[in-house]
Amino acid sequence: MPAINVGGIEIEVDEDGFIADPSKWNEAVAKALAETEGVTELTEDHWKVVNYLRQYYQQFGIAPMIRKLCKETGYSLKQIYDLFPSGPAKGACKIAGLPKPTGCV
Amino acid sequence: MSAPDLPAGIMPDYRREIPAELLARQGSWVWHEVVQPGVLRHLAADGSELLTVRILLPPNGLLSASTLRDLARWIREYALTGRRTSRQGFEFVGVRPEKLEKFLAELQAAGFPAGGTGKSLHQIKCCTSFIHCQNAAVDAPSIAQAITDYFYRDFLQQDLPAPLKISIGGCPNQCGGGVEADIGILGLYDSVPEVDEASFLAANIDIGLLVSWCPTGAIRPRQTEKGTMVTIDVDRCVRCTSCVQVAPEGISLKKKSYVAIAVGGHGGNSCKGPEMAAIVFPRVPARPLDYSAIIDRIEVIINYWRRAGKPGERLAGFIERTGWSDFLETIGASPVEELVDKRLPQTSIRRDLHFRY
Amino acid sequence: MPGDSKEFPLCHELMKGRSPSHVRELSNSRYPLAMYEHGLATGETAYGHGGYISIPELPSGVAVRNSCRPEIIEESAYLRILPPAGGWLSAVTLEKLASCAETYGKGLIHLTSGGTIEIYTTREQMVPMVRELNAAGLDIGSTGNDLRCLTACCGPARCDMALIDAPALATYLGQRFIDEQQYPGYPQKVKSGVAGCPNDCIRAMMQKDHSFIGVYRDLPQINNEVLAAWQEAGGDLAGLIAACPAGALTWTGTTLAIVPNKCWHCMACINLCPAIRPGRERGVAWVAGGKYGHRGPQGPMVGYVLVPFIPVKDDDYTAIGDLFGAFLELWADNARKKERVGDFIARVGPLWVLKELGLKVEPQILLSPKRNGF
Ligand code: SF4
Ligand code: SF4
Ligand code: SF4
Ligand code: SF4
Repeated sequence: MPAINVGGIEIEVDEDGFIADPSKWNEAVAKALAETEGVTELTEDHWKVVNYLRQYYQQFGIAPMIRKLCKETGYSLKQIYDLFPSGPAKGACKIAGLPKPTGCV
Repeated sequence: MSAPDLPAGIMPDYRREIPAELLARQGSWVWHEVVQPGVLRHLAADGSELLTVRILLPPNGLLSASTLRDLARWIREYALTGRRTSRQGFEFVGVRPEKLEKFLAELQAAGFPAGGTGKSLHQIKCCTSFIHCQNAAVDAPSIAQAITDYFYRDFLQQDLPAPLKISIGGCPNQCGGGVEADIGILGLYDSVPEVDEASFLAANIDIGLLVSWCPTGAIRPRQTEKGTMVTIDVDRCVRCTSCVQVAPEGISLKKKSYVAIAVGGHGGNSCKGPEMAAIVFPRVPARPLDYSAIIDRIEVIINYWRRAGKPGERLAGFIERTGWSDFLETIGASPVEELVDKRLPQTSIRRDLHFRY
Repeated sequence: MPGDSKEFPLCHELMKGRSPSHVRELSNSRYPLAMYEHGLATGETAYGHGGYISIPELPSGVAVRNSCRPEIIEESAYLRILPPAGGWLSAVTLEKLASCAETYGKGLIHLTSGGTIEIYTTREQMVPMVRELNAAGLDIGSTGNDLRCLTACCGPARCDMALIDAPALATYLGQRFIDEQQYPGYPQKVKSGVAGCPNDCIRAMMQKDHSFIGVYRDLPQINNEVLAAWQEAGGDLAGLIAACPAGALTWTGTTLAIVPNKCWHCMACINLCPAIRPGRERGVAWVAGGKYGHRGPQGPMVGYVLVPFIPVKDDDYTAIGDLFGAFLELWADNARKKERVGDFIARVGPLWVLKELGLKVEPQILLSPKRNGF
C-alpha cells in the first residue's frame, strides 16, 4: 500500500490517496494530504470545511451531502471548489481524513 | 495566473448556429409536408419555402472527425445550417432547391442516404453499450445496425401505415430510450446480482441507500459478527442492477444477458398522452452478432401492422383498436404470465369485463 | 483501416451492411477497436466501473471509464459539451468539434441520446481542450449529480407548430443555471427539456426529470377558406373529423367548428390540416418526474403535470426560471441521496410540491377525483 510521510511517520493511504485508517488523522496528516491535492496552505477557510466534515463524520459515520456542507459552512459550491480543486468529496473529504466515497451511481 | 479560471461558465446561445437569413424567418412557418422520403418542405404565410434534408447517421451518433467535416462541407455547399435530431440523426436545413437533386445523389454516394421521414422507419436511437459503457448487458449499436440493414428499404421509402421509431438501450438504465419507442429493445441481465461478503464488508457501503434503491425490497440487511451485510431475495429481484450501481465494490453480476422487446411506446400528446412501451417478448437472445431472433420477432410485428394497420395508425393506436389479445396471439408473443408486471401486478390485470377474443 | 478483418472479425462484419456503420467511424478515428471487438466476441463490455476521477479545475463535464483490458487501453476519458439548444449545429461548430477531437482527442465525437456532445480523449488533454472550446464559445458540464444539459426541440426557426420558442427558453435556463450544470451539488442528476408544443418531439415528458412544454389555452383556429382549398386539393375531411380523439370537431355542411369544452387542446387536427392552426393564448405546461431508467423505486415513468398553463409573454422567461430554480432547491433540500425527481415526487406527492412552492392546484392536472374516502 502506498504511504505518505508525516514528520517521519508513514501513514498508509489507498490507491487514490485516501487515508487507510481514519483514526490516524491529525492536523499534520491533513497538511500532508492537502499537499497531495495541490493545496499548499490550509487557511482558516479550509479548516472550517475540514472541521465540519470531521465533526459530521464522527457523529454520523458518513460524509454529509454536498448541499448540507455548503449550507452549514456558508460556502457556495463554487467557493468549495476554489478551496479544494478536486471538489468536496475527492478533495475536502480526503484532507479531512474521511474514507473514500463509494459507488458511482 | 495567466489562464482564466475554469470552468468558464459558457452556455452557448443556439442562435449563433443559425444564419441571420433563417433567424429572420423564425416563426413564419405555417405548414410543412414531406416532399419525398428524407425531404421536408416548410411553407411560410408569404408563400416562401424552406427545404430540409434528413439523413441516416451511423448508430449511436458516433462520428469521426472526417465525417464531421463532410457534414460541415455539405452545409457550406448546399444548405444554411444543420442540426442533430433528437433521434441521433442529422438534418440539413435551408437546402437550396436548385441543388437538391445533386445533393441527394452526393449523400447517397457517400453512404449517408436521405430518408427516415413520415411513414418510414426513422433513425434508430440507441445507447453506446460495448463501445464505451461499463453497464451494458447487450450491444445496442450493433443491434441497431443489424435492424437498419435488414429494414433498410423502410428507411428509404414511406409506405408503412405511420412513422416507425425503434429505440434500443443496452441495460436497465435505458439511456437509449427503449421504453419510449413504437418498438423498444431493452438490454437486461439474466442473473441475480451476487454479494461478495469479504469485499462488501471491506468497502464503506451506504446500506440505507442500497436498500432504498431496490425497487422490489429484495435486499435485506442482516447483522453479522463482522458488520452489516445484505442478502438478495432471488425471487423478488427483478435484476434492475440498481444495487450493482450503488455498491459495485461488493455486489457483482454474472454478465449473462438477453433483450426484451416492447411495443407501442409513444410520446407526444396528439390523441392519447405519452405512454411507455409494453413488453411482448420478455426474453430474446442477443448474443453479438447473431441477432436473428430479434429481427424475426420485429419482422412479425411490423408485417402484421403493415398488413392490417390503417393509414396514419401508429403501432400503439393499432393495438388499441385491435386489442392486446388479438395482437399477442397474432405475433406469437410469450405466455401471458411472463407479461404481467412483476413489480406492480395490479397495473397489468384487468378490472372490467371488456374482454376481446 | 486499423486492424484488418482477421484481427477484428466481428467489427469488420459490422462494416459490410448497407446502412452507415458506426465501426467505420470508429476505425476512422483513434478509438481502440480491440475494446469493442472484445465486447462483441465475449458478449460482455470491456469497460469497468470508473467512479473515482477528479480533474482539478473541471468539476463537471469530464468522466473516465475504467478498462477491463488494460493491455489495450488503461482507461478511457471523455469530455461532455453543453450543446446549443435545439440540436442546431452550424458548419463552423462542426468543424470546431472535428478539430478539437483531432488535436486533443481520439478524432471521434458522440452525439449522445441525452442530447450532449462527447469527445473521447485522455485526462492530460482535458484542460487544454476545454480552453480551446471556451475560446470557440462552447463549454463542458452535464455529468454526475448536476443539472444536465438543457435540451429543446428545433423551435420556430424551422417548425410550423412552435407555440413557444423552445430553444430560446432552454438557452435562457441554461445561461441562468450555468453553475448548476458545471458544479455537481445535487443529490442526483436532473435532466431537463423544453418542447415547443404538445407534440413533444424530444419526448421530454418521458425522458426528462423536468420539462416545460408549449401549450395553448384557447381553441385551435379554423380558417374555413383554407379548409375549402385543402378539401379541393384532396384533403380528407371525414378522416380529419375521425382523428379528433375528443370528438370535438363538428361539420355543419359548410363550416367546421370545435365544441369548446370537448377539446383536449392536443395537436391531432393541427398536425393533419393546414386550415387548423394552434390557438393564440400560449404558455407552457410544467411537467416533472419523467425518466427512462429502470433504477430506483418507480422505474421508468412519465412525468406528472404540476402546472397546466404558465403564460409566456414577450419572450420573458423570468417567472419560469424562478419556478425552475425554486423547484430544484426544494427537491435538493428534501430528496434522499440519489433520489431522482420522479421517485421524489412519487414519495412526497405532487400536492406537497405545489404547496411548498405556493402554487395553486389547477383542476386540469386532475385525471379524476379520488375514488375512496381516505
Ligand atoms: S443504457 Fe445502460 S448500457 Fe446503455 S449507455 Fe446507458 S448505462 Fe450504458
Ligand atoms: S438487481 Fe434490482 S431488484 Fe435485484 S436486488 Fe438489486 S436492486 Fe433489488
Ligand atoms: S415539439 Fe412541437 S414545436 Fe417542437 S419540433 Fe415538435 S412539433 Fe415542432
Ligand atoms: S385539438 Fe385535439 S381535441 Fe381539440 S379539436 Fe383538435 S384534435 Fe380535437
